[in-house]
Amino acid sequence: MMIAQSLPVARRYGIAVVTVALFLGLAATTDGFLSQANFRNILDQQSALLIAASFATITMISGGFDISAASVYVVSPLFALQVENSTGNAALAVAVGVAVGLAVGVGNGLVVTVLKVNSFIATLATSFMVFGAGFLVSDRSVLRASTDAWPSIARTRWWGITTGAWLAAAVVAVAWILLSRTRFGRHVYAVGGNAEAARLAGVPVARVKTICFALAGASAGLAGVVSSSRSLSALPSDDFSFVFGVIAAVVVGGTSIAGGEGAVWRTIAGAFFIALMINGFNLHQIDPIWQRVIQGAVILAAVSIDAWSQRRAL
Amino acid sequence: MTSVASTAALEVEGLCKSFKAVRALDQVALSLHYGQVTALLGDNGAGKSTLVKCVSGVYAPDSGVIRVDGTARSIASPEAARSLGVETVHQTLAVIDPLDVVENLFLNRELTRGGRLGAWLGLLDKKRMRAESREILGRLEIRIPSLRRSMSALSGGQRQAVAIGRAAAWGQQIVLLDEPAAALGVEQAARVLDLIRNLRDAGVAVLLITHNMERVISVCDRAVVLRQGRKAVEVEVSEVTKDDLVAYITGAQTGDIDP
Repeated sequence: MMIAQSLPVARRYGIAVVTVALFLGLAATTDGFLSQANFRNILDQQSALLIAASFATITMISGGFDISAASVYVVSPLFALQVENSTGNAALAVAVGVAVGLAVGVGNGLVVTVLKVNSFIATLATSFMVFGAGFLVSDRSVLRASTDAWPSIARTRWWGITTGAWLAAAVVAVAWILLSRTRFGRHVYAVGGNAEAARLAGVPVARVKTICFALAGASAGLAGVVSSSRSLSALPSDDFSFVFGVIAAVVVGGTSIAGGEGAVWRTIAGAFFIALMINGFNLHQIDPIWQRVIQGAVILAAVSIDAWSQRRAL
Repeated sequence: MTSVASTAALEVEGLCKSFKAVRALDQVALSLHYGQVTALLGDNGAGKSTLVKCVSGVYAPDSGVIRVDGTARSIASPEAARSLGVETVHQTLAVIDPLDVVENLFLNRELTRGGRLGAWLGLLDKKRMRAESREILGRLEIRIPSLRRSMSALSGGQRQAVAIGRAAAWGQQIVLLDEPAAALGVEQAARVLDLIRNLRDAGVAVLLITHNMERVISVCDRAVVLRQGRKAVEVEVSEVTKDDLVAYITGAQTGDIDP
């Protein structure tokens, strides 16, 4: 009984505890860790991931598994920069970048809810299509920003913090409130927890799921824009690594891949745990090969705890 | 608690429903009355759950009439049933485990704050929902250790009590219960029966599906027996014995013989 009751608590707040512990450990042992410049750097580097991961969390809680974020992240800035290059209008370009993500997300949602395809497979398939569209729209070459407005989107500093990080904070806040303070958020948990029971209670299950995928797509589009504003360019590729970082942050935070449980703040903690870990590795000059192994072990530990607590709940 | 009341709360006539070649319901008629508990009996596959699902908007019947308070209605969705005051506790799909007690009670009926803007945004009024949940559970004499517990941390009886409590809280007129006490221990089942009596005394029309004849005798006013999708018999519970009911269900005794 003690274990059964303490486990949900461990799962709920465990990530906060270990993140703080890691922070304190690094602060005590590592030169150069406790500096404003280092923290600003971490915040700025995490901005794109946080934007996509906060809404990926919502999709995962609804019971969806969306891996199209990487393709949207790669391709939305290609569309955006084409618009920027030809019109010189950065605001319009941002809107196009987000709209590309939104359109992919709506498509994913419809494939999952109307065609009833498993969401992992559906978003794998759409990922390839989107990656392909990226090569087409960019004519297989790097696109560079042509206006000064483009880098200013994410690289302007307000009180020392980049606008990319401020933007991430705003998106996180919106996702957090949407999930924890609104009826929509409640319905997301209900749909992920037991879709059939939710349907019998009159919750519009398909609509809720589609909106989750749509918002996740739009946020991945914005993440791509922020990233290309930081780098001043965009490169077509078929690189899935971005979404692995997103999913790692979500599951290390303790959001259940089975759906129905999780929170945006946990994903934020998960993202910072991973970011601090990598930061510590780099400051201690640990071999990048070992960094990967350890990172993989951390993710494995997180999903094991999830699976274990799912079994306990039965 | 015998005899028929004035207008039926819910009346079903000539209800038919087939699944491919299988005729699940064949010209079934049924009426529920305010302040009465009606048992719906029958062997497995007799059509009990199908009937409940037709009335609660889960299945669309092939033909037949459903009247609520004397008015013919088409109940196209669970939402439509709820808006007509018909609340249902389905056999196994009653509650959502990861959500807590308050969240389950107010599922898809969440209260909002902040006026019309708050309603549009769907801003939850958690405080009011918690207070009202306490009030609802108190009124129905349902004791739950903590409203913030997720359902998975509660016992089978408590979970079922919350499911019935939700139906009771919103179904001021008609409550359909599909085997609400099937998986419960003796004491927990007794609590559920008390809950059903409370509903009846509050004037609610209750339909109870069960396989337990003791429960029929102790809480129901009338019993409708289905056999192979047809209504076999309808009796006043006070005029029959447990053995009679079992005989009707198995077909050892037909409905034509007056008990």
